[in-house]
Amino acid sequence: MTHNMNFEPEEEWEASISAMLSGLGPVDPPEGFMASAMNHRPLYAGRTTLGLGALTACALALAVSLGGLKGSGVVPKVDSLAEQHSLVAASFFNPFQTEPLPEAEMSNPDELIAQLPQLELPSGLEPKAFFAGSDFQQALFSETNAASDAVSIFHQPGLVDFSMLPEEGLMMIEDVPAWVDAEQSITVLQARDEAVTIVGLSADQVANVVRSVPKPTAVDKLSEAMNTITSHLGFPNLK
Amino acid sequence: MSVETGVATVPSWEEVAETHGRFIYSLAYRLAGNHHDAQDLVQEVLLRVRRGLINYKPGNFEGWLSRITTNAFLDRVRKQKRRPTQKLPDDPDRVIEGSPGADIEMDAHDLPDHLQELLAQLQVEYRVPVVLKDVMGYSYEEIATYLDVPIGTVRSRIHRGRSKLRKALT
Repeated sequence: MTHNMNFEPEEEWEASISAMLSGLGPVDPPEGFMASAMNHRPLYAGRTTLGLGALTACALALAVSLGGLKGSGVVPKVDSLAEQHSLVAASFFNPFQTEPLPEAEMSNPDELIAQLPQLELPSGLEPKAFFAGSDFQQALFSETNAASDAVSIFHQPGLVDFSMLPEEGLMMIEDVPAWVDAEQSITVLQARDEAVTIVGLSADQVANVVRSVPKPTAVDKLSEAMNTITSHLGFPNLK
Repeated sequence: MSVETGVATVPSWEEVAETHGRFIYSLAYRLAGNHHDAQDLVQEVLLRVRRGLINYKPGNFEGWLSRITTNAFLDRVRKQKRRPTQKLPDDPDRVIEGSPGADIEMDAHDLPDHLQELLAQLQVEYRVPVVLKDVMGYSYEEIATYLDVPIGTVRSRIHRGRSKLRKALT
């Protein structure tokens, strides 16, 4: 069980306690646990009781209520955003172990944060960095300054086209439509007129955040629908 | 249990779970103190490993896993403190209750379970460094890095943790 031979001078009793503790052997997980952990279902699965029919109806209602012709809204590239999160978090918190940050750091984070929909994140999470990608803005939060604990919130203007995201991730959280990949801790939500993708929060944490999500207004929906129509007809975007 | 592999390649997530699952589970169990919490913790660790592998630079892989496991455990503790389900002790110097049979010579066969019970009763700020040092065998320097605290703090917490265990055992 000894990892290295870094012995330190200790009193006899202390060495005795240390020796007893070092005798605690490895612990086997319950049979089948690791296989189950590797293939575990989304954390929300047991807490969300929507049937397949309800999910389908929900997705359909979403497509209509959000003014979305199929493919007309924002479809967050969730895998890319998860990679972006990992890259930025690792680069920011472990600058000596990873490649330099991409050249996209925002020069005025205060201005950016004021523009973002206000979400109630878990207490302790503090904004650390802000980045602008080609089609998103990323706010990086952390409580412990560890890359593994970081949370990213990606903002993309427009209404989420939930119909274009994999169906198995569609669900309602606290009556708010969402798309969830629990394995990668990714959640996609609509907050006012922005698509919000959260990376790094647990199921319980997301449920709390969802309660603070501003709902899209009728004006937002109308504006998005108008933009969609005009862009299809070749007119400039109204925004 | 923890051995430097010297392997320069980054394993896949599946390989991590299969090859290092027992290592992660052992640390999770020693930190959490029971199988139920250990299983929840391992789930969280595997998610973080999956996210973090993309940026992992080959090195001390089990050290990296230990750091993730420890951070995940401390996050859970912080969350529980924010939403306590039972009253938490306020006095950081409280003495662990002595074992019921402390005055009876223990059967050597029972010692690990008994020790584990006492370890689980140890306050988190002492339990974590003691587990990392004495159970997992990491150096003071490594523990200071994992916990992001000065090495003097690590030494004193380990010393006090051991002292509390000693009191509980005698």
